[in-house]
Amino acid sequence: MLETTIDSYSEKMRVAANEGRYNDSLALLEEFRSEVRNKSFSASEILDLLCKPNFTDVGSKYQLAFTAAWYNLSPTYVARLNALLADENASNVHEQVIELLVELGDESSVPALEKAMSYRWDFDEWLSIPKKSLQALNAIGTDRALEIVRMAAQSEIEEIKEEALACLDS
Amino acid sequence: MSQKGLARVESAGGLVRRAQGSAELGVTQNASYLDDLMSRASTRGKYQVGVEFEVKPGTFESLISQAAVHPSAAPMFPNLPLFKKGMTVPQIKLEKDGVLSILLGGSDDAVKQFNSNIITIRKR
Repeated sequence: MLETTIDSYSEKMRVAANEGRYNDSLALLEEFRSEVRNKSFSASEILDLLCKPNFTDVGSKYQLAFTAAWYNLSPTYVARLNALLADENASNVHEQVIELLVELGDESSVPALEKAMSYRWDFDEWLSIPKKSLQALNAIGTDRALEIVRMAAQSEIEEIKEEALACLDS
Repeated sequence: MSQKGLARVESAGGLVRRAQGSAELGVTQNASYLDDLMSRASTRGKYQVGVEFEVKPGTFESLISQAAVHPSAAPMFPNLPLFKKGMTVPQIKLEKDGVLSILLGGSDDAVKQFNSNIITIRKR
């Protein structure tokens, strides 16, 4: 049922986008949010979508699936999110994945977050992915996670160093 | 932004680019996103204040028309180019939960344009 809902919104958003009506796309996203809030789709339905092969390639579908995940956060997503973050071909969703991982705060995410610290994607001019990975590691707070944050505080890259120091100060 | 950032905005009467554009300078029309950003435990202390800019009508649309997109916003703006390193244009991005923001930090012209369209500045 969630998949059908997402298919329908995704198609409407595709049409709006092709006609340059981004305000309509945003309104559709808001309408979807409200539907997700009211219907509370199950975590297993959301996970099924996140696990679909190539789902990150399909227009607005992944955006809608992540939105659904925000309204029903579940530790069952962690393994799939870790895999998406470790997959360099899914760079378009990495930032959203990290934000969910911050909230889920699971120790098993540390290796994927450590890998994400090394990502330098062309579109990530302000290093949001490594910086948010540091925030996630700091939130997880295990010895290994904090060790990575402390190492980043010695980074030669000023933005990374600044973020790591801010994390350690918080 | 930080208290220091707010002082810079108040004294300049608008956004101020950092050396080599090293700050994102993100603006959004979604005020509740700012509240969320300031309340997150993971960024405690980083976003101390939200600043509300009232700008002339059409400012946001004009910035979008000159922008390139982050992959998160690409499906919503199929006619705009993907952002590449070193571009000096605004970047459109979808933040947490699909909130639209425009990052002005890489574009001196966009910052100037935004600043020249400011009507009022208010701390939230």
